[in-house]
Amino acid sequence: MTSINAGGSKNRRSNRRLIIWILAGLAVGIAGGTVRASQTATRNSKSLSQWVAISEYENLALLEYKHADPIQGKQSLQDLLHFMDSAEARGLIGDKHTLEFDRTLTYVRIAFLDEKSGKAESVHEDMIAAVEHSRKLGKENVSEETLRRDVAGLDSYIP
Amino acid sequence: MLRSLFKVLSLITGAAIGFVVSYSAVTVRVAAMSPVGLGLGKSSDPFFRTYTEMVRLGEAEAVIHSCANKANIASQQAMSRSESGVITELRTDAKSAGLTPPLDLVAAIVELRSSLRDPKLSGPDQERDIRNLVRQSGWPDDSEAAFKMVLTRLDGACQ
Repeated sequence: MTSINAGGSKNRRSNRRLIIWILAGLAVGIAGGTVRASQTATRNSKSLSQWVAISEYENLALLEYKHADPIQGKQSLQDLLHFMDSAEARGLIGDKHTLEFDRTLTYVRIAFLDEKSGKAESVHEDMIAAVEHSRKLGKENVSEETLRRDVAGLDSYIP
Repeated sequence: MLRSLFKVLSLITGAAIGFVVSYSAVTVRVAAMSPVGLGLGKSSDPFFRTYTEMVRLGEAEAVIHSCANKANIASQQAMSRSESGVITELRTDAKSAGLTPPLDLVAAIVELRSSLRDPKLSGPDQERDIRNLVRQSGWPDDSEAAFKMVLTRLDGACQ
C-alpha cells in the first residue's frame, strides 16, 4: 500500500514537471512567434500598402504630368513627394528601395517640367536631388544623362 | 535518460504550439489593422486616413482593371460606387493633411466610365460635369477627346 502511494506521488510529481516544461516551451514559443510575426507580417503589410497607395497616387500624378499644364503637373508631382515624405515620417514604409526609386523618377520628371517652363536653375537642383536619391539605391556612378534617358523611356508608357 | 527526453519533447511541443498560436494571432491582427487588409485601424491623423483611402482607391482600380472582372457589370458598378465614396472622403481628409491629389481627375474617370457602361446615364449634364472636372485638373480646354483616349488606354489592357 505504501509503495503504491509512493509510486502515485512520484507520477504526479513527474507529470507536474512535464507541465512546467510545456509551459516554459509555450512562453518561449509565444515570445518567438510574436517577434517573428511582428517582423515579417508587419513589414509585408507595410510594403503592400505602400505599393498600392503610392502607385495609385503616382498614376494620377503622372496623368497630370503628361496632360495638364506644366504648373499643375509640377504641383501634382511635388504633392506626390510630400505624400511619400509623410508616409516615411509616420513609419508606413516597408520597402525603402522602391520609395527611393519613385523619388528619383519624380525629381527627374519635375526637372523635365521645369525645363519646359525655362527654369534652368530649378532643373539643376531637381537633377541634383534625383542623382542623390539614385545614389541611395546603390547607383554611385549614375549620370544625369542616364536618368533622363531612363525616365523618358518610362514616360512613353504613361497613357 | 527517458525523463530528459520527455522534458525536451515537452519543451519543444510547448514552444511549437506557442509559436504557431502567437504567430497566427499577430498576423490576423496585422491583417485586420492594415490599410491593405480589413483596414480596421482608425486614426485621428488625417494623413493616415488619406493613405488608407488611397489604398482603397488603388484596390478598386485594380478590381476594375482585372481581366476576370471585365464582363461583370454588377461588380464594376459596385467598384465605381465604392470609388465615389472614397473620393468624397479623400476630399476632406487630403485637405486636412495638406495634400492636393488630383481628385477631380479621378471623379471625371469614374463619371466617364459610368456613362460608357450605361448610355442611359450619359447626357449633356454629365458631359458638362466631366468637361469641368477635367478642366479643373489643369487639362487644356480641348482635351475631351484626349481624356477619353486616356481612359480607353487605362481600361483597355486588363491585368
